[in-house]
Amino acid sequence: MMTNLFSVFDPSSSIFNLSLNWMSTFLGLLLIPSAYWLMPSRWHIFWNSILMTLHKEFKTLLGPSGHSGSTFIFVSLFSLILFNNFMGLFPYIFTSTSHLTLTLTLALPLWLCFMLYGWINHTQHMFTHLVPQGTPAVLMPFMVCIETISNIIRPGTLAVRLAANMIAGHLLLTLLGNTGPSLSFMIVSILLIGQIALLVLESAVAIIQSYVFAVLSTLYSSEVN
Amino acid sequence: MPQMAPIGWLSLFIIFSLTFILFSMMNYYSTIPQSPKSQILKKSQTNSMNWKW
Repeated sequence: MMTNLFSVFDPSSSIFNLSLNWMSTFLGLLLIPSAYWLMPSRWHIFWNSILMTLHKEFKTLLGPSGHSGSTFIFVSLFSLILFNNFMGLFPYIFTSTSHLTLTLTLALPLWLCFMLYGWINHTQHMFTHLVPQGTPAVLMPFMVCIETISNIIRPGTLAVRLAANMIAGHLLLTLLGNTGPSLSFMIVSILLIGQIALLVLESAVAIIQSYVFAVLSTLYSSEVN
Repeated sequence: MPQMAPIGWLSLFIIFSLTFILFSMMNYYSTIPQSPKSQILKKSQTNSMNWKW
């Protein structure tokens, strides 16, 4: 029964049994303004203002140890996840970020790189990070244990948080919609209004989740140095 | 799951990493960072003359 419930997520856009669903990941690439022209258009200015706001925010988060250009990867990570999340809300477009394949692909290499760099180059610093500031001496062994575990599950939580948030919204909308044909006209209009409200919530969640992912990876990277 | 069968996870991993790199490239080339503008604008002396060769 569980596979049946989630089978609404099996997309049917397949040509010659070759599933082209994952091509929706590239949709965001078409929406980012291209840099062919000298004078910025309105879309250019809008996108640039978003990126610059994010850049200032991440630079603050990274603190004094951030090098020039260190916010760049997180800003582009935000844009990738934002477009994938948001495009998935439109009908017939596959939400690639709702699958662990994509989210783990993004989270695991990032976390692994931070950990390898930190542990190999700044071993002392990484060890001191295992004990937060101001813990009583009695609690230190337990804090080390807890911090180690929380460190290890970080890529998992990053990936699963994004995928689960995306799936939850879509699942709710689908379940509500599946009851539609068996209802009277009045209740169907209430259902539609509810679904539209949920769609607005989902668009907010899409933007927020992409922001959370980017901010958390910024924080994880700032802990290393 | 049917859409996971033809392409394996490794190729999907490579595709998504390349997509991330492509996104990074697009964002890098389309950002126009603001250089800090000076507060005092030095306006040099301009004589308005009629245009001639």
